[in-house]
Amino acid sequence: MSVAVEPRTRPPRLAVAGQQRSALGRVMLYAVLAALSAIAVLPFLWMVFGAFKTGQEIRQFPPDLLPREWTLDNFRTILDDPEMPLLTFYKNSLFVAVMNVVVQLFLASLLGYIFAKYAFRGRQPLFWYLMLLMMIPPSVMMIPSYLILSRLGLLNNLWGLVVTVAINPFAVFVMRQFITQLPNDQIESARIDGASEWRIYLSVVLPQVRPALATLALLEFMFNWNAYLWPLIVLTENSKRTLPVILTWYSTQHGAQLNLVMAASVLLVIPVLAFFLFTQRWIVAGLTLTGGK
Amino acid sequence: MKRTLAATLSSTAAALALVLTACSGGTGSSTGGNGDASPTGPGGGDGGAGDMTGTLRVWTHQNKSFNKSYKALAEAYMAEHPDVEIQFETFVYDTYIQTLQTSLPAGTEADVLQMFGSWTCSYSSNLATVPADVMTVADAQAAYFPGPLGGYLCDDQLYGLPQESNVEYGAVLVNTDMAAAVGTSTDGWATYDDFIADAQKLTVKDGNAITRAGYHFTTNDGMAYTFLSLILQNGGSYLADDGSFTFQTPEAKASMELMKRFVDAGITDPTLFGDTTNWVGDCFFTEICAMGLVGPWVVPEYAGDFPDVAAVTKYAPLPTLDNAHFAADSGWGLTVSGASQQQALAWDFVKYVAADQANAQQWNLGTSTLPALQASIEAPRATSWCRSCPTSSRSSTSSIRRSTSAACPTATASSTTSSCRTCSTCCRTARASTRRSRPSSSRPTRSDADPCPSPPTPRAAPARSPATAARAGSGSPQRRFRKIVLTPSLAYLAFFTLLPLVWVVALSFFSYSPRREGSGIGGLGGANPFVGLDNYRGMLDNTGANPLAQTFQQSLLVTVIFAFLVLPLNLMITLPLASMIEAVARRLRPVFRTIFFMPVLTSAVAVAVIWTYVLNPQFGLANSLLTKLTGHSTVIAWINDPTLVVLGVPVALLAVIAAYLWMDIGYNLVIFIAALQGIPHSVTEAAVLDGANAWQRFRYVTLPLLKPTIMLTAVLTMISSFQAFDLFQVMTLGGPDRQTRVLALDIYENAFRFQSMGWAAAESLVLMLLVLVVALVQSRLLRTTWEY
Repeated sequence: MSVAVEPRTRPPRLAVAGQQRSALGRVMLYAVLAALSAIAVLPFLWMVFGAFKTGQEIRQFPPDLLPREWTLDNFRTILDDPEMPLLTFYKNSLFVAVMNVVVQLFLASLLGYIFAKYAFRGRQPLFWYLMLLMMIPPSVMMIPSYLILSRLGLLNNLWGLVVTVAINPFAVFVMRQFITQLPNDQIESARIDGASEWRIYLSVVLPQVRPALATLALLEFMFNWNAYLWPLIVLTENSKRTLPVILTWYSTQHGAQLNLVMAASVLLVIPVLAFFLFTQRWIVAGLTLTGGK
Repeated sequence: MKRTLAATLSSTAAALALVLTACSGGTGSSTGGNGDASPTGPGGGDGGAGDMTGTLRVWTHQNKSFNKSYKALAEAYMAEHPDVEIQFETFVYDTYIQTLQTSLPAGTEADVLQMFGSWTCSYSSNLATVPADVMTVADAQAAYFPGPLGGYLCDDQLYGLPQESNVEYGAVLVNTDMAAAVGTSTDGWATYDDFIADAQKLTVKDGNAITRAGYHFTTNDGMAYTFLSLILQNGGSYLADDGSFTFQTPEAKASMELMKRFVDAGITDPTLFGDTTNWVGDCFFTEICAMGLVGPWVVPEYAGDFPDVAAVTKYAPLPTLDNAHFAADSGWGLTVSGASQQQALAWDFVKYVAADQANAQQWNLGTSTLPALQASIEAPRATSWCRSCPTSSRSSTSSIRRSTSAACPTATASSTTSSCRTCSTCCRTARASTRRSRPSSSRPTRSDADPCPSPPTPRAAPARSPATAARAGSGSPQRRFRKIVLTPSLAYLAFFTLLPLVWVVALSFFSYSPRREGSGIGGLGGANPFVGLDNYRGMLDNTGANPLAQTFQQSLLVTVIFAFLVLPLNLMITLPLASMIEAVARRLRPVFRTIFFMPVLTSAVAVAVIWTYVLNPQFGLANSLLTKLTGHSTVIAWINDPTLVVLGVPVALLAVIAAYLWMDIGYNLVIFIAALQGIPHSVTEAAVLDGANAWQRFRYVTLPLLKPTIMLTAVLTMISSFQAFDLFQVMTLGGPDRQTRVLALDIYENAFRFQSMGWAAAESLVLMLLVLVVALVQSRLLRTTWEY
């Protein structure tokens, strides 16, 4: 294995020595990586190929990887199925994910700003309380939150998935970290110039944390888009469901027709996966920046 | 009428008629006999036909043929009553139960509710009784078979009208193409020996693996009905004198031995053919079962998707032992909500559907279900099916009476429900094609007597937090701004975070179900009594008296094993992988990183669905690869076979771990890659100059420098694996034998399926404690002060 060093900064002699030593190792390295990559990719391919197999072929024993006869019928069946209004489910998922991102980021940046730049009594305990909330497993909150939603009449309502998590302690924490780093002078001088506090928040603070906001937005979007447990509890009506929940529903309804289930998975997974792959640079940045989840 | 009947029957795979021939020892179904007028003419709503107006909401569970038949009758009803509009809402079976449980106490349910007989009494406090002008109890007892009716009678009050008798034993689905190919019978068998011999001929094996089951009966429903029916056929009874179940009889032993013979004969494999893999309907219609035991309702359910198989499907009677008895239980029927504003109309419609003989029969024919109305079988033309064997018609009827009506004596509501539910919940769950619900549903539900829950009072909007308002003076704009932001935030936090925390702790000291209305704040107290530390104490129970405790303890163990396997495996993969990716050409790094990161971006549900297919015993990638590698067919039920255990860890759990790792390593991978990039070049260069090889550099330079990152990721990985839910819920639902029932799943099931929220709250607090302790210990163990 060679050293991961910028070639330009590395002395020439060392570079040559390193390359010579790892000539064989390099082949092995790529072989191992290729094998592991194959394992990582195969399940996806299995899904995609399964979606193009006929019902007859997918139930053939033993199965082949590639479809012998490629068919689009599975997709047609799903798109024609009145019980699978895909557009509705995409809309539901989009609504929940976007509303959560908007509401959470707005409140997190606002609170992050207050925690970072305002001194007030109870700031420390309040912040610790938020940190404590981060440590509490979702299973603990889900029972009482469900009972609260049921009393508010928000079960089976997409807003139910937004109101319970409007203040996201993790996002508040991240925003506070970033806003703390902003120089106080700017805020002070804006204040002297007569800017209102809202103005300062909007025009001084927010623009400077835009990269962090974008990263957080993508992360939150992804988490909410893929969320399962809470939507499963809150949404019991089919037409209200989000994509992950509808996928399990579909796979239990049509479990015997694996070709249809795989086609449904492809339709529900691939478009968003493409979007996430396109933006993964920022998602990765967000994860490494914040230590994950 | 008769001819139409026969025609309809043959077109719906003759299911109804053929199951009835089962009782007549295998004679043909299309017997003669001339049409007798039905007792009630079609559309016989007696009187008041014109007065009905309004909109009627009807809730049913999702079943294609059931709902088609309901809608046909609703259309006819609306044609007779132009001022009535009937709206249907259908729910997936599992969801339906959940919806009923939450809606009935809240009074938000529809006017007419489809119910399974054995459920009715547990909801009776929220249901309306059948008005005497619709049907008296005595009339109902005369009109319906006692079996189906028994489910709707609670404390001598009638709460609904049954539509079907649920008999799922007596005849089997036979694929006539397969039978013709090996020359086996499609008309029935004289003895079980003949039957087993035929089933063996129909079985296809590849090595030791069954690739086509000759006779699939190894579902919860199938085994329960077989067992109970065989006890009756052996001349025994499964009910003790007090109405409870008893299996300590020689007849029960003989029945069990016969069932064991089926399995020993190699005609099915309970691990490959069960409820979760290859459920009878799926299995039969995807042609990997030649014969299957399931109720006739399954035929119309699948015929649309699998017309080719439906065309060669026949329903053939099973042999009987000494007595031609079958065990049956209550079936689907209609009830009316007690909160309905449209009760008169609702009952008129229910009567139209379930009491009118012609309509009820139309419904039974459309759904291939056995009638609940005696007239539908005992009408002369119908009895002709069974007349060829005069006693059998009687005996099948009386066995229905014996089984359910005896199991549901007219005692108290609670005893009715509990004794009924034991047999019928386990039987019922497979009905909707949701095959995932079994393992847990066979557990008795624990909220028996519901003392009339009434709608919860709406909670007032959250009050402003007075503490903050008082403190902040209204002086400077900063203060005002802070107040404007913090006051609602604090109110929000109090209402949506502090209140739930207090609530969950409080819940854990109560025996609470949202279906019962308690007396105090939040429904706690009264019918949801304070039990002190009993929930916590109950978790430690090791006497086996508390089934919940056993499940909890096992879940805890599974969770711990899962987390302690996932963490080292994860690090063992991600750390070397990260350094390998760091070592490849710069241009290729993002490619590899993307490949391993893709599953992270995919929803866990999709991952679970994909992996379920990858691990499918017959059609999956895993077994297909193994078959190619080893050269002989491998059929392993990775996530369904409880007997597979490696080094004390169930294979099912390992399979989920594999999927979990596949999904999860991308996280740690990108974090490690970033950390590796942060290591100063001078450090690694120095190691190279000192002559360290790749391993030594990794072990003595990279690893120590990564220690802070490893610590953080280890803690986060551990915490998240303690809470893993999605994969388990979708892939295994905790099965087989609860081998993969993790704590998060147990909490979810207890809270939302069984509605024991007090117990589940206590469990969730234990999970929280566990997470906190592990995080604390881990960060102590891995603490490091290394800086570079």
